Order: sequence, then C-alpha cells, then structure tokens
Amino acid sequence: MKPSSADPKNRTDTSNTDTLNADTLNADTSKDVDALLRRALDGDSVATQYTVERLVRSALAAPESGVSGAPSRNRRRTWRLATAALGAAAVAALLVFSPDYPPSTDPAASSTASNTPPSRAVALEITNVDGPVTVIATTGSKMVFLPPVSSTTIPF
Amino acid sequence: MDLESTLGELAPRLLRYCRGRTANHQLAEESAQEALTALVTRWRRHGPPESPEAFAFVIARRRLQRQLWRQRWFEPLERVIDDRSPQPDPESSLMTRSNLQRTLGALDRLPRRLRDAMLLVAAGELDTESAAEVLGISKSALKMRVHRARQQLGKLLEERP
Repeated sequence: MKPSSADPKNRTDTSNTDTLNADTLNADTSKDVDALLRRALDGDSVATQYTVERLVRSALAAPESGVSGAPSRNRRRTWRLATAALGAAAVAALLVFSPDYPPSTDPAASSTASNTPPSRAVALEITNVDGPVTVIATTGSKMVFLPPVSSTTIPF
Repeated sequence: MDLESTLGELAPRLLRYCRGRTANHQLAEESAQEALTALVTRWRRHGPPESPEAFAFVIARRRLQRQLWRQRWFEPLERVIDDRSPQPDPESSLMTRSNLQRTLGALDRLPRRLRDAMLLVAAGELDTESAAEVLGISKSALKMRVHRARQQLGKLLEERP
C-alpha cells in the first residue's frame, strides 16, 4: 500500500513545506492550528534536534558563578551604574554650563561675592541718593539700592 | 525531577516559542539559551523553582522583549554604521520561501496579547496555569486570549498566500 502523504508519520522534513498548505485548509479545530504552528516553528527537525542538544549542553556547562550565571542581576547592576553615571554627567554638565561656574578668577567678579574690595578696584562714592542707582563699569553693570541720604562705596 | 531531563524537555519548547516571537533564528536561540542557563544556575544554587517551565519562559519572554525593542530602535542605526548589506543571508532567504515565514506572518497579524498567549500555550506547550503565571494574568483571561488567537490564526492560515 502506498503511504499517504497526509499521514504525519510519512512526512519528511523536506515535504513539510509542501504539505502545510494543504493542511492549512483543514485547520478548523484548535488542535489543528496548534499542530500547524508547532510544525511550522520546528522546521527542519534534524537541525532543530541538533540545536536543542547544543542548547542543553551549553546550559549544563554554564559556570556555577559568573556573568552567564546571573544575567538579570548583572544587568540590574549595569543599569544602576549606567543611571548613576548618567546622573553624574548631567550634574557636571549643569555645573559646567551654568553661568556662575567655574568661579571667575577675575578680581572684580570675586570681590562682588566676597564683598571685599579688590586691590585694583575702583571705588565709586555716591552721596545723597534716594532710590535705585545703576552703576555701569567696564566689567558690566550693577543695580544697587541705596538708603536715603547715605554715602556708600560700591566695590566692583 | 532531574535537571538534565527537565532541560531536554524544555529546550525544544522554548526554542519553538522564541522562534514564534521573532523571525531571527539566532536571536531565538540566544534567548532560549539564556533562559536555560538561568534555570541551571537557579537550580544549582537554590534548588529547582516551583515551576521550572514558568521560570524559564518568563526569562525567555523578558529577554526577547528586550532584544526586540533594541532591534526595533537600533537596527537601522547599526545598519548605517556597519554598512551591512540589506540583502538577507541564504538561510533567511530560504525561510522567506518557507511556511515558517508564512506562519510567522500570520502570527504577526494577531494582536500582541493574543499572539503571546497563543505561543506560550501552542508552541511552548505550557499548561494554563503556567502560561497565566508567565503573562501575569488570570487563567480565565488566558483561556479567552488563546481561544480568540486560535480562531483568528486559523482564519489567517486558511487564507491563500
């Protein structure tokens, strides 16, 4: 008796492709769909068997400890390190590109912060002024509010 | 429960599931390998997990999702940088002509949730409880998804290519 090609036992790997189209037409039950899916995904059974054996051997040969032993933990650690590095880089970028960083070595600018007249500063004396005064100097401008009837020296 | 026999029984199912999730054979093998390796490590350190198959499938699924996400975003860039040929390799060309590609195409047309449930149950051969655990859903929800997926996939596979 001639073996039927529809019999799954008689299917070879090379005929898998040819028989599938015919089978799909009859895929009216859930089991058929599942079987079709499995057969299509298995593909060449010899190659798949070889791959499976290789996978099992490799898994069993995995070291007791090491990178391959705990992938998720290592990945979490890498992620934490990367996040920390990214945060540090962001803070550094903020500091570097902020207008007040790095602290200016200009004596005039530093004197503003320390409120100490620099050695080469030009002192400006303003008397009898009531209200804001704009003082324009070569290093920039500075707005100060002076108390009424006062005399003060603005270092800049 | 023996580690080696468990691996031997799980490996083809994992491989099939991973192939269903991605058309990339290499990626599928890597993901299955990583899941099996994690299972071996866990087994040796702390004994067998409550459900080894759920343990392995959760890891394979997570790994695949990560790889697929990376592939989606970085592959165009890598292709530009490496100047790789867009032509598929001979193995991929063969796959394209095969029914695997057609089946994957039909699977790809399923909604993601249905596809994942279908692959776990049909390709991964997980029982309802384990598959629901892997997906983090109830058993009834899983049954509903698998039922719908089977219906839709059956219709899609019956269509002429």
